[in-house]
Amino acid sequence: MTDVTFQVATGRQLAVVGPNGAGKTTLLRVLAGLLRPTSGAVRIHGHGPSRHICISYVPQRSGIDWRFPVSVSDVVMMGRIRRIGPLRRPGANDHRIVREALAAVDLDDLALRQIEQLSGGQQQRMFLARALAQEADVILLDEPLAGLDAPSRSEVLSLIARLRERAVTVLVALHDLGTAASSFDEVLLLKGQKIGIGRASEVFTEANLREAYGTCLHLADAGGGAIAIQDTACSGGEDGHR
Amino acid sequence: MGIAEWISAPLRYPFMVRGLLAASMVGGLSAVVGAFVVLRGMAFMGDAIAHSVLPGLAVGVLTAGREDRRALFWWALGTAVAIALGIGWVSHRGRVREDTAIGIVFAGMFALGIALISTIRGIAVDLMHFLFGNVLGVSTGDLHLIGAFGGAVLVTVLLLYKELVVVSFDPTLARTLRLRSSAYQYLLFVLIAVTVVVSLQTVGVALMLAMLIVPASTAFLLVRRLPAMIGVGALLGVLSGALGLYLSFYWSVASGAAIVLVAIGFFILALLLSPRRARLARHVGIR
Repeated sequence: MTDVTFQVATGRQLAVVGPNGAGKTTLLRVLAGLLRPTSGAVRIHGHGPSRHICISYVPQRSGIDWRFPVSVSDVVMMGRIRRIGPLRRPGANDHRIVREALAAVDLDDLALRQIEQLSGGQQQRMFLARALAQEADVILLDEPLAGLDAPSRSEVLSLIARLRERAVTVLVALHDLGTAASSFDEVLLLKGQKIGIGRASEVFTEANLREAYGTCLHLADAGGGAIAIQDTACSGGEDGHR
Repeated sequence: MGIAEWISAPLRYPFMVRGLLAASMVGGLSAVVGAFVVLRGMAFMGDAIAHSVLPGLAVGVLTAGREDRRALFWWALGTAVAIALGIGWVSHRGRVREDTAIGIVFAGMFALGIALISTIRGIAVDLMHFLFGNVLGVSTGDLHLIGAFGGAVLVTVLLLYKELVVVSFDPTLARTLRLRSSAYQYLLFVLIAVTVVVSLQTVGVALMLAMLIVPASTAFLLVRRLPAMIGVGALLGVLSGALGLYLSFYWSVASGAAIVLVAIGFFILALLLSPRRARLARHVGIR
């Protein structure tokens, strides 16, 4: 990836969109300090990511061993271990923060469930609760809607929207341009490089979308503005076309 | 013969009392460390560390003689820790796949051990003891070593429990929390190495893997929380050790094999009774 210089103001919510292989996950992992950029730098509150424990990275659900014998509240408590410190056990304050985080994502009644017994949407909400328990200032979510049914999607989206009250900066990698435009303050359109950043109406222009998606995208004029229809057979068939 | 007498009769022999203490401690300790081995899928790693101890034992016999058990212990411990760190290093930056690297070290060290032992006179007995253990030959000094080093392993797991869990469950979270993941990884390898060495005299190199993974897996089938898995696993490990030794006493079966077979018996029972049976079947692809 080259030329992805951008800034996000504290408390804003940014959707990172682009076709498969555009570098959405890579970008989030660099921001989280999980990957080191070959050149360039990431600054969060003036420091590189490795100086922070206030960045929460929520990976795609497929990367987790769901049979692991931990409960929902165990996983949320994991977000606090650096604040608890080594050789010490969680105190009353930590338990209170975990309870509040679970309540904030409506999982209080499932706190003691083993994590495999959750639905996909509940699993995603559990990770949001963990980010809250971590007291993260920056939350990075990698495809949080992938594999979820429509009701679960809207639940997760409304929880993300509620993070605005906490002045948490949120960056979300997304597939769906419509969701990016309707639910986020700003969008970042990527394809190996930054194509555009700003309000969806400014970034999702026909020229920009063509540059990102090529001919895999059909544009339809629907009165108020262009509606982009992704040709899933085209983008989903990426491997076949290589 | 009543059950009380069945239990008390072997206790008349001091070597049986020492053996029971050793087998119970080793069974419990292995299950605690084994919980992490099972959850992280490190069974092959555990087996490799166990087998790689053999050349250390051989050098110990060659330099200090087979009677100096203290020297054998230190040689085994040094070798096991060195191998654990070596495998960790190779799998971090190696140019071959991790399981390949482990396999090469495993086979190479085992072959080196056999080669060295074959140069010693009267090898057959030594080799048998190294491979399959000799729990009835445990001395009071051995018990002290097992207690001290086993205790150190347990205390370490207890103190660093939450970090070990996070590093095992979600390495990505560990890195965003700026935990030193690789340091904990190496630590876990060293804990396995120490556990292997204190268990050598009870079950031997060849069956060590079973003590690490069988009681822990049985517990995994029965409970849903990690502290419970560790507790139940430890209990099953202690029971397997003690009960195995009784069976060995009454039926004249090799003690290490008897202990492992009892542990496997518990596993099969759990498999048949477990609420997780369906999940395990799905996991291994049986319907």
